Amino acid sequence: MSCLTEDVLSAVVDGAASAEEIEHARTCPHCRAHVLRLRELDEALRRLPLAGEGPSPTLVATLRGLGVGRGRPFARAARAAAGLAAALLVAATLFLSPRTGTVTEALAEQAIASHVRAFTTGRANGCEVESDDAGVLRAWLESRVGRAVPVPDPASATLVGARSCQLFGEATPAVVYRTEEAPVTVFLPQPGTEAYAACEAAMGDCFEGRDGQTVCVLPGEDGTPLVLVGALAPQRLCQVVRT
Amino acid sequence: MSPEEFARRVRPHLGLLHRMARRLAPTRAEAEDLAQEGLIRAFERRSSLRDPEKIRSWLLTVLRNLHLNRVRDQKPHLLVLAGGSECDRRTGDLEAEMQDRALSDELLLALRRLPEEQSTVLWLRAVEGLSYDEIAEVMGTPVGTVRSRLSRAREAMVARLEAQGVRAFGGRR
Repeated sequence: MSCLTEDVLSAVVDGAASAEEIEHARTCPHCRAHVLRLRELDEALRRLPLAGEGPSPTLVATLRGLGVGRGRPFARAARAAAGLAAALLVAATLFLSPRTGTVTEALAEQAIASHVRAFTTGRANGCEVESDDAGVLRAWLESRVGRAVPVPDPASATLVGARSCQLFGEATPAVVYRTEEAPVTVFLPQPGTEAYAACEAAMGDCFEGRDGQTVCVLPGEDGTPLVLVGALAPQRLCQVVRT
Repeated sequence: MSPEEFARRVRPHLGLLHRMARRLAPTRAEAEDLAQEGLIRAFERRSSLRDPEKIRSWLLTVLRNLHLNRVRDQKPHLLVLAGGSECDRRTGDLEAEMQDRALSDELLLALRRLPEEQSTVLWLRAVEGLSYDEIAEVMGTPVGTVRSRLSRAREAMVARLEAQGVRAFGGRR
């Protein structure tokens, strides 16, 4: 038998060659040396630091959030708690000030992912429809979800547009604002959805997530929850929806 | 598949998902975003998983397709509504450069220089231990193509490392 082709030598490394080919690779000095080099390459790859990395905490938390049933709270405490405690001393009288505590982590992770993703998929401002008119956005969102959607029109931020996105796999209206510091997405979970239930359990809480993003869950004017996401300090983020 | 069952079946493969994203994306932050979005997308599409026993290769398929779509789109990295994009891009490049320097010895760099379809096949076989059949499912190619890509990847890696005076197997000469 003549020397094995590179294709077969590679298959020998994986135990995917025929018995005859494996025997040849064992007894032929040239082929044996070649197989040895390929095996050493594989072993070197398995020794790379990357090969030993486990999942990031964010990924673990995201899966935990996806796997929880309706309304079950998340165990992990908001990392914003310490900063919030100080902020609350200053802002305790504000109705919309965040309370120290936890927000459903899955909700926060998904909201951040949706917020960031919206600006990485080619829509320059993360919107499907662009307008600074709350009435226009209200009508567009209503056409998408089939029910009236209250669109906050705050003085401290400029309306940019709206989109329909997914939280817990369910269509959720979202409104995008521009502030001096950063864009902010406000999600408007609909009654009867998992996101809405998660918000009810987390009303008033803030969470600091990856990439410097903050998530706050606040009551809207009619008491229905709003989920705010943006690269802002919690207190500043809460001010965005103050009218 | 219920959310609980999805979580239970995916949990053992989170590390694999993370490493695959780290290998595909140029920076750690982008890898984290890719892995998270891949996981959420898989969750949203879990009804399309016909055989739950094949969830490992299915997850990798979802992640890789997401990555390829992003690469194809080649849209700006992030974020701002107005101004500042130049600054963001510079930061991304610097991070990638530092990561390459810090993370990797010549071995990882050589891996990254392979065509994606070769490096992914090699990684999934040599490091993650997937079978030829599983890799074929991930890549959407016949098993024979997996076999030939694997061979080409190994030969290219050995040739490159030896040309650089590096023994992949045991550090610098």
